[in-house]
Amino acid sequence: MRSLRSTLRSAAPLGRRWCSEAPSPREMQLLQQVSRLENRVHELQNALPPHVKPAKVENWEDLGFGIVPTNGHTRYTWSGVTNAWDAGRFISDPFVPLHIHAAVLHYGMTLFEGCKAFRCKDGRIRVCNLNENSARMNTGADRLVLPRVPVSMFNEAVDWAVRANAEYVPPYGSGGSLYIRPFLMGTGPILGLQPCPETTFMVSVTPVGNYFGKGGVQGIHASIMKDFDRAAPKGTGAVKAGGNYAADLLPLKQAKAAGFGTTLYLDCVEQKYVEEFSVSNFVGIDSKGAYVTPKTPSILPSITNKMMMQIAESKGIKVEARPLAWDEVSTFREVGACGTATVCVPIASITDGDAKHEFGKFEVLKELRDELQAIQYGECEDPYGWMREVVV
Amino acid sequence: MLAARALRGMRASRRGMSTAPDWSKLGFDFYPTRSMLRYDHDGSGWNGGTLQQDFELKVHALSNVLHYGQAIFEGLKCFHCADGSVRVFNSGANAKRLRSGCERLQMPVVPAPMFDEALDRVIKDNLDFIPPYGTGGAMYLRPFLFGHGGKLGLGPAPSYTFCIVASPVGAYYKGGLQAIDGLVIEQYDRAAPRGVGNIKCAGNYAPDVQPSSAAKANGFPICLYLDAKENAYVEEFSTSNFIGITQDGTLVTPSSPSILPSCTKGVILQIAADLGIKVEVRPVPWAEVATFREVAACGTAVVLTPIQSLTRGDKVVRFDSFDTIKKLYDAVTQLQVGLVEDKHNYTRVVAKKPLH
Repeated sequence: MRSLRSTLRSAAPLGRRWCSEAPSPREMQLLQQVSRLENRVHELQNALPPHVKPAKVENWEDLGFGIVPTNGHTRYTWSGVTNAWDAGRFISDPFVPLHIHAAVLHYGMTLFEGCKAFRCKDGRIRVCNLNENSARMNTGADRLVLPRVPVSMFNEAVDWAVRANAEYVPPYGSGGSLYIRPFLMGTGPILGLQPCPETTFMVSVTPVGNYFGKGGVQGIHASIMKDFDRAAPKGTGAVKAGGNYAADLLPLKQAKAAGFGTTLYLDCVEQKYVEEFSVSNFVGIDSKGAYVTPKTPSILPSITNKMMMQIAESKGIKVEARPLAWDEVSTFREVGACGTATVCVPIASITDGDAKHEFGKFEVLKELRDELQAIQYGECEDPYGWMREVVV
Repeated sequence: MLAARALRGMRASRRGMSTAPDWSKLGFDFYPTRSMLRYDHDGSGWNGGTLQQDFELKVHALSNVLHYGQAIFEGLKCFHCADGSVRVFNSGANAKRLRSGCERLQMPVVPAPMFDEALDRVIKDNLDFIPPYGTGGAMYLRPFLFGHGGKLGLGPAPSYTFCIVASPVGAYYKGGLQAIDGLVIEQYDRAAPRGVGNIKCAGNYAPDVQPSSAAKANGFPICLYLDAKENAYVEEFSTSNFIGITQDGTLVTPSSPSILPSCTKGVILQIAADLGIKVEVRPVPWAEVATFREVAACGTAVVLTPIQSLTRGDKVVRFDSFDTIKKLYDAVTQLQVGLVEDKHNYTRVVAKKPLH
């Protein structure tokens, strides 16, 4: 049955022209046959055991930031022929079939998001601030010429994936959460570089603990990357494009080999201003007690950072989102790396060549992080309206 | 959706899946051939590779290639030559470039002998899909390598796949060379100075779709990027390198750490030197471009595309002579199909295919 589907896929030589003609009676007959067979394939697929047997999680406290096989993911397809999204499916097979010329394989047409679902104190499951993720993904979609994902579909896809994997949301008190990975990618076949005729939107989930393991408590040592740039000023640094991340693999490896936990990038024009850590935003508390985070057109706007800023403001802490010269950082009391996966972890030190700047404290940032987590786990009021229950 | 796909498939199969296409109608699109080649790397080494008829791959949903852009590709061509031989053109340069990209993206390298062997296997299995000598077409070969396997945090992938897919493509110019208009992109950068602009990684290409589409809609088929740092020096066109000819006939091409080194450019520079043309590889300020006599874009797909104008904001710079470009274009295309002596061993004979 796979061969039928793959034959159909591989036989499609990128031709809208093939579809512009009306089908002949014979073709109509064949189409109906294909449709019947496809339905049969779906039936059989649902009857089959999952490709990877879901493992039951036993020790929720030991979860790291890896993959635990779950019940499946949601998948929606957009077609350039109809200019519309389909109704979506829940798929248990963790593998995705791709045409050999799928745009994502060759031209990096892909965007991802990261968000989380929490098992709250009241036993209910809630997702955090999805509208921000949806908006950021659509900004990226416009930049990479992929179709936008309507916010209602984004929410539906996430809720569907969470609901179908409810038993994988770590229990309240374990410190874990269900990491949600929505991603949008060009799956249509193209040979020359051009907008992609078919796009797939998927939502995968996996239960996670702390991104940096024990370092999340003790603090991470970062190293400044002067030999590499993260993004060009007018590049794609501000959107969550896949291509931004592969470029960090080598710097990250070099930093780890030298004993560091993460990399810190400076702006590529002057190498003077702070950009961000490899996969998280830079946040700091300066000598006057203000919350400072760098702002440039090439930094990915972290949603966790945005929430922390709101919490800081509500506490009467001055918040400054502005260009931040590296020279200024040495005067900071606290520094943290902030993102969905990490929430906000202390940065113990940043090394710039021979100079090592240590940040002994993590008090104000910890207070902000704890308050954010209290909101996420439903331990306190959510005055910002970030949390939304996923009814199971 | 499904019906549309099925219909496409049916019509493609009605046309004959494993038979040769109508050579005169070929453009630059994917045309399914008999087979593609796939090698897998599980972390310890490459396997022996298999030819497969199925043009579909299955990858884990949480694969590096889908999320973190850990993917790289190459593009090259093989030609049916005047003497009936099938030659692959300049593949050594592609193997070398692929290697540097693999190292930059932390992927296993493809040793040059394996790269050559892979090309040979795909070409030999798809001989009847190579446009015959005289049609002006060629077999476009697309080697690509990507990281996959379930992985959530950013790090090297657990497994890698290297594939070569072949597609017969038509002659780009049906008549003589046709010059096109270019637009200088001010709103976007192609690559950061110490980024990954110098390797052919997937992530460099998606960001160009928006600027290119917008430029096309405004009547500019090609875009030119300037350096990200100062916006003052020429980098390259969307997917091809920049070549300029000065008033005194010197060939000038920009050097910059963020330009993708075009394999075709390597050949053009050598041939230019052979023809007694002075060659300069150096930073090229945008201000100097207005003084050039000829400008062209060079790459695998077209060899050389003459540029008749470059527009930056309100200013339009025009070029109306393409004598040197034409001379170089003819020399390269003749070399590709074996009409002139290959002094520098750019071509490698892979197989024989009868002439008609």
